[in-house]
Amino acid sequence: MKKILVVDDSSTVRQQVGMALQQAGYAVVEAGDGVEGLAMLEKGGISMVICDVNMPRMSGLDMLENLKRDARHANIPVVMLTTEGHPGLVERAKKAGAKGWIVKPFKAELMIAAVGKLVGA
Amino acid sequence: MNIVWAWLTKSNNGHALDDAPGLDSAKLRKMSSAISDFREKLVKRVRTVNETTSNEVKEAAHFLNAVVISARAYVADSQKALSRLQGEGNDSIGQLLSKQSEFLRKHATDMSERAAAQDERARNAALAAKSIADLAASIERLAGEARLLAVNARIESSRLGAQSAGFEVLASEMQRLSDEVASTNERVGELAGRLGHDLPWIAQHARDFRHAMEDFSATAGVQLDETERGVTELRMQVTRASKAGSAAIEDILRASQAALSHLQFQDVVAQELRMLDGQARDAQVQALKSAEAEPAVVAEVPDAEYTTMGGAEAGSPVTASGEVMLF
Repeated sequence: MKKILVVDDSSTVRQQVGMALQQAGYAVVEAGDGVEGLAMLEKGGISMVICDVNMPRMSGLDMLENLKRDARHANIPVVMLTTEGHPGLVERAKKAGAKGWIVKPFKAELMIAAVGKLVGA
Repeated sequence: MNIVWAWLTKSNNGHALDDAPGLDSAKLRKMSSAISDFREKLVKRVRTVNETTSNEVKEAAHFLNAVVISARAYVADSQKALSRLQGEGNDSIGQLLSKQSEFLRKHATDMSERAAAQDERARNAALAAKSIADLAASIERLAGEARLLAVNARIESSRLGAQSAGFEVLASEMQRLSDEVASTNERVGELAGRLGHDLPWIAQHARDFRHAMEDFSATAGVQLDETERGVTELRMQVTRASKAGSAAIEDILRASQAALSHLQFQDVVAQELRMLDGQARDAQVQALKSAEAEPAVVAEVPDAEYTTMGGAEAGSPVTASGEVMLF
């Protein structure tokens, strides 16, 4: 079973994303910000990361850049899940190696389709 | 405060206060203070909205999750029951019915064959009893002839006198033997008669039993065929019902997800308030800058700290919610 790391400072959003992913057959682990997210990656076994942008301590974009600098995690696909739609931020994420951008409130079926495309069922 | 509101509702290019007429340093400080008050209320409001929304969404998510879990459990149970009925696995109802049908058919056939064999043997035994009776009649006839022969021998012996004493003894023995044969044969005849009376009855019952078993075998076969047809029909109906149930559950899951997605919109309220606060903060900083206030005064401006559900930065419009872009 593919394991997805969901990073968001909102526990409600984590719960909702997690529920949608679990119903689609994925295992889910959670982190409350970028620092926790990187720590979870160290434990290994993560197939994909779904990450908020605005978070305390370390933003999603900073976490993305850190992750991509680490050769062990560089190939893990990252999708940003955020209320942000600013072209500059989207461009920055794309440049840093993000695989996608989902605007909140998310639609579960579209998100699951995107996850399926990136890591398979 | 009207100026503040006017500034807040304009596009925030960071220079609007410089162009405002009649704003001296004191007025700007006063305005900064008003903005600060406004921001504090705003922060309080954002926190309340966040807290309420978070609680409500969590509660809703909790209930929807319970619905989803129950629905999933129902589907799993239905599929398990269906799988038992469909004949997957050795303990399935389908397999058990097939085994029982096979067992009943085999035993019905076996008993029918045994009944046929019993019928045949009973008839053979009746025929044998009749043959014995015929043989007994023959022996009776032979014994009668032997007795007659002994009587004649005795008559001839008496005519010869003393010289035929040995022949007389032989004739007497012959008479005795023929009498014993006749007596034994009489008992054999009696037994053959009894057998001749009983065996046809046994043969008739064996025949009746055979017909009954053949009827039972045929009826059981028809009933088992009907049972199997019924089970097949039941399987089809349960499969259809299960599919319909699964589809309904999927609808429930989709509706639950949709409900949760709609609940997420509540988060946007707090985010919009936060954006508004970001603009107010910029206005406050701008007012203090315009008033040429000391840096320490700027530092005293309370910073907004939120625990928004999704988080948003000031000035970033929330558009195309739910949109997914893959690079």
